[in-house]
Amino acid sequence: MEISKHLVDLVVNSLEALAKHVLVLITEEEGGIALEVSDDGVGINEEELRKAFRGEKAPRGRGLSLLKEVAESSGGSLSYASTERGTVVRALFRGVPLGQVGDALIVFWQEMPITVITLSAVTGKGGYVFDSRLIETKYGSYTDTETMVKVRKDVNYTLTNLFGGK
Amino acid sequence: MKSIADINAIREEMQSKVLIRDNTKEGETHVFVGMGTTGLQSGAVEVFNAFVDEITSRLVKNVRISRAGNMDVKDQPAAEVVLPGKAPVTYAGLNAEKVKVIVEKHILGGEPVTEYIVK
Repeated sequence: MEISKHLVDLVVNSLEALAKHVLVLITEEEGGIALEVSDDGVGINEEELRKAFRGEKAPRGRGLSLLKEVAESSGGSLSYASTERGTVVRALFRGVPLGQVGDALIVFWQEMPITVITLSAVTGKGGYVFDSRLIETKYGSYTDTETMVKVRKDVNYTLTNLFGGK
Repeated sequence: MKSIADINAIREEMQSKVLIRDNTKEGETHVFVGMGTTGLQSGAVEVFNAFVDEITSRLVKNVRISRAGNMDVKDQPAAEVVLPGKAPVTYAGLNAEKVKVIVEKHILGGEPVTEYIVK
């Protein structure tokens, strides 16, 4: 599964932890791509986390067992830290395609007025920041699907250039 | 005096109105795309974006496209379409081509596409 699809699972987890701010960071490093999602939500308890990583049915922590499997089998890694004040998940992938991050990001369109989603991307070619609070200023009306298309196009185009289509 | 069938029809209509009030603004069509992990692996993000593209290219207004949780249907990806004043219709086994047909026939034409509806 592409990295952008794992991003959807992780942001859903943040929203289910009642996060008010979700920060997505995608960087090029060690010959691979690192995806880090952090939030200020209420976290996940250890028992739920153990179940989620074992792939058992758990009320929270969806997609984590698959993420671990994909990251580690690619030669990368997964780290996870969660407290009642926030969570950070970081996955390093090698040779796994990034996918279309803009397509994944607009899945959360209806949540963005309530939860701030910030996406940063950094590679040797440069950097990029998307901030959901600036959608109306930069792209257009929130209620127009054309604005969703503009955001998606901007994110996809910029990240494809930054990561060289990996 | 109303027959049992009439009363059932009124009840169904009232129930659908309650659901619509809960989920959508007056006069707004709402599309929910299931984003459970199984849906994600089967192309739910592509289906979500296909709805966005089709609605945008046809200049359709008053349609809200949202992420939903896991839709408990066998054939993923799945989506639910709620037209103003109508009961929700759940579709399964979707792809971009089927989304085009749903937008054309159901969202614009008002007639659900029976062959894609969850059995």
